[in-house]
Amino acid sequence: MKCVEIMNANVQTLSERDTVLRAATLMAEVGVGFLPICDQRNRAIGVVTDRDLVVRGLAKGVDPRTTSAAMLMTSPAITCLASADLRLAEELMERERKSRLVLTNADGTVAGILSVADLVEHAPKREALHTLQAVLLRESLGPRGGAEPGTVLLRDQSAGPPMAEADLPHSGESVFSGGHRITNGKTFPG
Amino acid sequence: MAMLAVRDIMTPQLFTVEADASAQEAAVALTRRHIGGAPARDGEGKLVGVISKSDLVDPEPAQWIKSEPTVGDLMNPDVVTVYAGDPALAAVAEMARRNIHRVVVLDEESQPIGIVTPMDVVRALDRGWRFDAD
Repeated sequence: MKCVEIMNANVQTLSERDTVLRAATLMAEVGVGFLPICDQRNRAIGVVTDRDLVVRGLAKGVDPRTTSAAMLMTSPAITCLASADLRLAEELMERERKSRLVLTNADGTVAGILSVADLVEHAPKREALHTLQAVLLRESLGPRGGAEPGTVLLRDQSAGPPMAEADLPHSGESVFSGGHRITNGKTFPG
Repeated sequence: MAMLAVRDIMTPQLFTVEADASAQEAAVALTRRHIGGAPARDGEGKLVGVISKSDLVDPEPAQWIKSEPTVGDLMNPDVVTVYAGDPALAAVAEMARRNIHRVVVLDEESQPIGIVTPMDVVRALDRGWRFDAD
């Protein structure tokens, strides 16, 4: 199976001149914390994540309205040909320890994004077995962890649509005794 | 403009996983909710750590874990918190300084009431909110 068969081809990209604010807007709009930054020919020169904007940007006091997102990106982008076999992409993810790859056309332009979740969800079982060691766990789970619809998935939580458990009662006593940060061992004193 | 506070940008809900849950259960729960991590709680509801997907898929779990690993085995036992009334930048600073992806938010009584992730910060930026003091 080829990467192009399961990649997300509906990918949003930034230009080198786009600001941190523009990156934030795009991420918020599409609900994705990962954007390739492309040159004028639409070739990825790097990638920027929501965390990059926060940790490399805001935390350092940069002005999101005037700073280029490219200043905060990880470069070069880890790319793979969209026409390549999935196994190559898996090996690349494993070697680079990346959960997302930028897929390119033969001319180097961005074709799509491939994530570990895509691999797990779409790859045929036999190929999935070869998926990188680092995702063995997720691989064994599948999109819903192989659980039947309606199954209670956590002992302490009721099942329901994603994010609907918001009422999420965090019941019980608090460990917080006024300190600003708690460092717990596994035997937190009660 | 008044100072942007943590409560303005946080996700005002807190999904927690049991520290006793198996790594697999936690992975299922996080995957289902499309979240990258969550605080872990003990049987009494106390927060005892934070687990992320990357902890769960570590290909080289510690040698001392003999049986199936639990959330408690794999989690980061540091629960980094800020108060809801703190400046939003405090949450940003904690994420940067401690190299973490989520900060638990406490109310005045030090009860956990929410969480701040990088995406919460990004959404605040998108709304045009300013993090600096002016």
